Amino acid sequence: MTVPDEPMTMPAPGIAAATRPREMLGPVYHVVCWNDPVNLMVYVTHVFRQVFGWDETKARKHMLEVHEAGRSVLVSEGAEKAEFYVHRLQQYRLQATMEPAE
Amino acid sequence: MRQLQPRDNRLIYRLETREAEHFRQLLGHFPFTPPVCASVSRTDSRDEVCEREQLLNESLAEHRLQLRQLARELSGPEHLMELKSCWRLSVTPEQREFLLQVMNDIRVGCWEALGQPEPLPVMRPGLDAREYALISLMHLAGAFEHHLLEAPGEGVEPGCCGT
Repeated sequence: MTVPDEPMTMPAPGIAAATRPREMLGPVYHVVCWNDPVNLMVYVTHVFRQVFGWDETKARKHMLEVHEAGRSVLVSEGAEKAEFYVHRLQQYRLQATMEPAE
Repeated sequence: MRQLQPRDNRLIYRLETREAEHFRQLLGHFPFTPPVCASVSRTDSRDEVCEREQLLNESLAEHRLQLRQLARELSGPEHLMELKSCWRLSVTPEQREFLLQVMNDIRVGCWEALGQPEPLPVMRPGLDAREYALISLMHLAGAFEHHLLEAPGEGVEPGCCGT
């Protein structure tokens, strides 16, 4: 009894981008929004929806985290994208920064 | 001020005469406070952060100039129109975003000029003229933010802002 030939394929060399370890892609930054007493809650929720395209529930969850915990990590991104988000949030006068992820 | 039903991808607001006056004053005199230095990080002190901070502040200064120009345009008759017994504001969703940024810049700027007090200051006897003006502006800008973000009301008022 013979076994039919299995198709032979060679694995692609290297590592696919999606599975690369994070350190190979450069440093990661948390985009953080900090609490303040002046930005209105409804406004902060609106800004999160505009900047990140989130739905009301997610935007409100992060807004409440800012309000109650003093800060919220909104997204974690490479330097360029994190910087972009910080610029956008600060255009709305939110207190947003990018902090190196540990 | 309240939002009416949107029309042709434009957001429509009805303002009482007094509200329209305040609205025009806010936009006409924007910005009320000088720019402040924005921070890009609270924990990172590497050299590259200074460079990022400089870029951020240049970008924000340029953005503020654009907002000033837009504020002038949005308080003009093309957007803010006097009707029989009220005023009508008509803006695109994108222009509404700029309006919100203008109003919040006024609000946050006044708060910063007051020394970033916590909790927020309220009107009380004994304030000097500068404090009084800043607190008034801060609350006025916040009220407009609220109204700009309110959901549209039902129907259109006949003979007023519905035309």
